[in-house]
Amino acid sequence: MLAEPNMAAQPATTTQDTQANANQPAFQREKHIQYFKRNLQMLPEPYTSQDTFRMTLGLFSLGGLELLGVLEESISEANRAAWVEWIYSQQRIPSKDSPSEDDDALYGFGGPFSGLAFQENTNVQQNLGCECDSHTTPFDTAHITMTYTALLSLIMLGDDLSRVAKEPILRSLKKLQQPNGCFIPCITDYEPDMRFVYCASAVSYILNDWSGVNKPALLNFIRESQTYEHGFAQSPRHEAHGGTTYCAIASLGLMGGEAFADQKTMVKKEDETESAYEERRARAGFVDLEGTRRWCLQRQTTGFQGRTNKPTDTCYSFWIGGAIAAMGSFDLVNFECNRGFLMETQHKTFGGFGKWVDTYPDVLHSYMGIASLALMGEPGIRPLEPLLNISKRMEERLYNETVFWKK
Amino acid sequence: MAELDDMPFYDKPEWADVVPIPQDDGPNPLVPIAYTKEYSTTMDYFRAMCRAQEKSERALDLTKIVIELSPSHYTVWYYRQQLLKELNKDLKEELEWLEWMVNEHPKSYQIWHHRQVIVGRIAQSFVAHTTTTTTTPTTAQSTEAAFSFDDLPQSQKTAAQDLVNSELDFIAESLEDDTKNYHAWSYRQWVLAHFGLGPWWVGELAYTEELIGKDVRNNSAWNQRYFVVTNSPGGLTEEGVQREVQFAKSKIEQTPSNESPWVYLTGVLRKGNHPVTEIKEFCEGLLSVPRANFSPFVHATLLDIYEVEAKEQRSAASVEKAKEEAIMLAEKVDSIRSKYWNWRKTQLQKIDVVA
Repeated sequence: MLAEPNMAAQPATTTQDTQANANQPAFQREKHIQYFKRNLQMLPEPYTSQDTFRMTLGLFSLGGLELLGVLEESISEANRAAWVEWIYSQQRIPSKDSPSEDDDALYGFGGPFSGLAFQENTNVQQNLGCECDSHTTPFDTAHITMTYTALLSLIMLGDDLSRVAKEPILRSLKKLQQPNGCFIPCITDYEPDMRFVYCASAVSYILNDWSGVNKPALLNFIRESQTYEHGFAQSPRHEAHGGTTYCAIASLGLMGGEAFADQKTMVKKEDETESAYEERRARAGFVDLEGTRRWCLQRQTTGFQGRTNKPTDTCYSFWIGGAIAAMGSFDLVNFECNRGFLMETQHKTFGGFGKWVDTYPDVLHSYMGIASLALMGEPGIRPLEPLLNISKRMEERLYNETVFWKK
Repeated sequence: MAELDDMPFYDKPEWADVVPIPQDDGPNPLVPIAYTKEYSTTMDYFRAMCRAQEKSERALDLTKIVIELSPSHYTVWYYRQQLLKELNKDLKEELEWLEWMVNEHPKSYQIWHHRQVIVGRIAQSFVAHTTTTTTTPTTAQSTEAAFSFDDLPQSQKTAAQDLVNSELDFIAESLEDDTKNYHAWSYRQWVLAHFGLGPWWVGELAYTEELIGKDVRNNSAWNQRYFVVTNSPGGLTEEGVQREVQFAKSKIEQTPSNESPWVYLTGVLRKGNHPVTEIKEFCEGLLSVPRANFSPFVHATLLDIYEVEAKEQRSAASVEKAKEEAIMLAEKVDSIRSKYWNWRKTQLQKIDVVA
């Protein structure tokens, strides 16, 4: 469970914060609800450039309504059921007769853009997705980000994950993990980086099974990606960055236990051998947790920047804010300045949030804006679980109602 | 002939044999996108090419059309890479097209990664395979060397240098438009490291100095400098540490409230196994420089230094000095982080001291 010692309890706003908030532009809750509802209906043409990432756009839209507390009332039963079927139709599963080990990397969830037939069945419980057989090609592959967002979207839509093919997904994770511990997202994209480390961790957590992940290698990669600034980069030696810092820290939090330990403050125990001590150090994810906490807090100028000396951007209020929450220090954030910035990046006409002031909104920044406000306990927004970046209500649903967790 | 050129490719006779495959989104899809007809039809033909796994010039042309419509598509680049190999295309021409694409879409992961794949292939074409350390043709984006430059025969050394230098020039040009482009910098690290410890490392330190000279707040350039001093031939020597400490100090004196040289300085000291207390005089000296006195980093570093001294010497006087810095930060020079600095102050009470 995510009740780790480092998890921050939902922080209460102080009287001072409430007074300060009164001087800021209002939180446009209704406008945001309409924004997400419109996008669920139909995403405008500019989203064509993200066509292959539609599953993520679905999650942000559903997640936005969930955080705003209006998910079930916003979606008809017919749509809810149809969208569950649509998601399962994107699942790639082994063929019933002689599945090939070569196809292992293809399993998980993808999108409809490669032209596979939509899967339908009068008995929906038998709709398990597309079998990979002689007519499927690498171009039909699942993608680790779509697998992770599909699983969360199914939970949002009230599905119990009983039709998720867990073992094939774990086999695909094994194929996607690289010798240096990092993950590529799919067999047609050999670009490993920290974002896919997070996706692999989130998938493993949701499936409650880490057997698809080589944890020591993963931990090593995460440790190696901490820079001299103590933030985490996309890969070793690159620049410390807010998005990848979240991905690294959230991964460590999802792994739990010793993964969240800090090498810098580790002390050899009296009865511990030198080699046992070294092995224990190797199971720790942080090189210098205090340094990382400080780097994250230092990113706040009004809202948060993603890198040293860069401009603020709505989404970093979540990426950095979420990382700080995971380290149990969200109470050290300046709520007034953070909220003030976020109120300015709301779009006055369309609702939603843009990355900057006076910028068109998009579903990612809109979701991240709401999630950031959730971390601060904004009225009208459900509390957020920062490691999976979903509402606490959905987190409960994962544990109590989905097949991989419920007792 | 001009009319034919305005015609979409799918209306041309050479595509008449292809049976397009529409996207099957089912009766009620989640987050449907309002595609243009041009996009839908283009993708219908692309799906047909992919399903047949056709290896032909027209397939190659179509990958270019799809990429230009949708650069973040996650299978089209793979298909293009297969076709370039299968059809034995001129990779130098591919690099020219990529140059144009990078200008159009500088923040596309896929475009930069594709360039890396192509450059990797060009390198493999002239380097003897016995020196290759990678085992798969699709190399992961790491900064491990795939070749040992020193072991290459002279003709291959020259070819490697030419390739590296032209890539470094290309990246430098791209960085002129956006000096902090993450993809450009991470690709630059790959180019420097992939071909081993060649002579191009020598110029890179000067390159970071040039960029820092143009914008002393360019944290990407500072990160690159750290990469160079810790990864170039010989690694970070004691002489290197001193040189870098001086360099960082000079930039701090220029812009004392600029975070980049501060975190670089403490990073280099740590890497060289020097304690942060070594820069105590430097920091205390800045307190009497009017604009430096308001730098949060002067006070934060002094807080760190006095805290270390307090712990090492169990000195109550050092705890007091550290507390003063924490108060200065919380109340005057870095009040946005007052909650953090007040927390630091409470941590100081826990230090075990002799009066």
